[in-house]
Amino acid sequence: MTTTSEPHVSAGRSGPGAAHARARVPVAGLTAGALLAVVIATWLTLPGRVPGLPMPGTIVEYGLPVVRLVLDLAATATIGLSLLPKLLGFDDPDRTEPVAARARHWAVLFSLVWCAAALVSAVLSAAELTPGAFPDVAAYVDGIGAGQGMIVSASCALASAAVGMLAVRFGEKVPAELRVLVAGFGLLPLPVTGHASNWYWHDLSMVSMELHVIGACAWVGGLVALAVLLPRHRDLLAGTLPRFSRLATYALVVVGLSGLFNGLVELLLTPGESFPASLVTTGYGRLVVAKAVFTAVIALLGGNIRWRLLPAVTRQAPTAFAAWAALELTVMGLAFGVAVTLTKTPVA
Amino acid sequence: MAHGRLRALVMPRGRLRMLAVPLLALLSVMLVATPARAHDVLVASDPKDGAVLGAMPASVTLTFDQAVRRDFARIAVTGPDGAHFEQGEITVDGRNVSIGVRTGTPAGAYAIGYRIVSNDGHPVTGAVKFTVTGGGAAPGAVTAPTVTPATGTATTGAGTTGQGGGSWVWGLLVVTAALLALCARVLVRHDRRLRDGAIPAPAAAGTPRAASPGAPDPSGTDHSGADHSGADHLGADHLGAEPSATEAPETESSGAPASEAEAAGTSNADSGAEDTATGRSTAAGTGAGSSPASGGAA
Repeated sequence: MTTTSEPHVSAGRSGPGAAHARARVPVAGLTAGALLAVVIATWLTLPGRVPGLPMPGTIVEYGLPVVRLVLDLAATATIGLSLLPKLLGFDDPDRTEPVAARARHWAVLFSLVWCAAALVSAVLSAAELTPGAFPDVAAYVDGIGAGQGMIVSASCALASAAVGMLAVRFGEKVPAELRVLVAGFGLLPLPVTGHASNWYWHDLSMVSMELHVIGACAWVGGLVALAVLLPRHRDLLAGTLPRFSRLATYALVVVGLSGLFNGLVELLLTPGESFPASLVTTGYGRLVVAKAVFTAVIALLGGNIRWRLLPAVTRQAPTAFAAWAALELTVMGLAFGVAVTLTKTPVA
Repeated sequence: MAHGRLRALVMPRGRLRMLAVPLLALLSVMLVATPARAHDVLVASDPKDGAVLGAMPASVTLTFDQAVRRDFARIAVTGPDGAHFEQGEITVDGRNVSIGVRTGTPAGAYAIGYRIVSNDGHPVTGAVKFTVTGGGAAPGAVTAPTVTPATGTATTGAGTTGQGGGSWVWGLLVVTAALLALCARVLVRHDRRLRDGAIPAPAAAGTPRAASPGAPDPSGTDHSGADHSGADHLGADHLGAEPSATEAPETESSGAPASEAEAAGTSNADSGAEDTATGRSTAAGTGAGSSPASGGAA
């Protein structure tokens, strides 16, 4: 296993140190933003003590959201890296192949992280249900849909890693679509593990939730892949960024609408809370508002990349794309962190 | 390189398959989607939250908005001194969960603590508080102070905690927002300068390093030797028959401090070819694009 392949495709271009640092900035921003948001949001929505009953320990209360966050980020990275060949295009393998090779390598790694995080998450979820006792993972997985969802997701992640290994070995002969599909299947059980909304518009909100997850993963994952692997290849970026930009526009619409729909349905259908007020009076409502604000900021930053930087990028002129992308990813990380907490927080 | 063949293989069908992905995904959504799962919410309780009772009831009942799972459900009735008064097994009847209470309880404040697992697999916790007046003498029983049926004890409790001791969190949030805004501002200015051509972006990053080359020649050669073996290892391990142009750039990142890599570049520029390994790695680095760093050093 090498941690080496990450930073430098063209170390010579801007001084190795700078290149090294800059490749890590987007990743660091995303992770730091996500961790910050998840810890704060978890702390804010921590359930109060229940008199007479043992409560889950700190490790479970904070560990579960953090592991879930790791799962989400790893899955996102896997999806994004698997998508990258599609974004790069197949017109010029000689130039795209070095980048695509690194993307394949990292996709396998992140699939494995995803799998591990899903399994740990199942154990911690089981522990959350039976505090004070040893976690009964078997009963949890057997009796509760969320547990099965986690196991299915872990299996898909493993399958994704296997397909990814084949891709590492045989290159782009293993079609990118297959890799995206296998990894995408691993995403589908995840909404089931959140409270997939209420009974009235259940099917609709379920589909909307799936679209939300898939859209967010493709969007954030794609941007991660671009920001980490491409900023020093102006020639490749010039062709890739417009494609990604189109994808990101669709993703913004899909993710924004489905997110609003799900959040509002959840708020509207919870008994005992009046709707517009519950946006600010309940923890869930506040998190929904926070996420909407983050989405708006992300849209602004995305618009900035699209309209201010994209023309220069397509001319292959020097731009601060990496830095802007890192900033956008940081805000995306914040939104991810809030999202993880949202899946766990009860409305009322 | 087999990429020519590869392109022929993948290109024409790309579009079609791109479409197939979302379609298949949607299809499988329909398969995976499972019947109603949602977070249960406590909608009523007997006794009510905040009630003042003349005497302890024989059992307490919690009513949720949906059917409750029997497994994992726990209820505790605790008295003034924290002693437990629940008795017997929990019985679940649809949306109602109840448990018996011991007789002979003293007067005072009681709490029903509960944890059930709602249909989506999430634990729902909370507490209902009530008071039993001494000896059951007080006849004017239930005087519930402004309690709506749904006492979302779990979150409201957490909410107040958040409001109370959470000033540092808000501080942290404000600082984060300020940092993000600062980043945006710096970036905007940087963009403007880039556009005006005041600084070529890469050189800006490269210059300070080039000013302090530091490391002498021997370390440069040492390092490139290490690099070389790293390249071999990588090539054998991961990339199979990839062209060396792929691996060479990666080698420099194998934990090598920036200054050393830089030194390799400088020494190379200064004194021509050191040895083949140095030449190779630098050339590969530059090969990927024009190199302002070595340009600055030269």
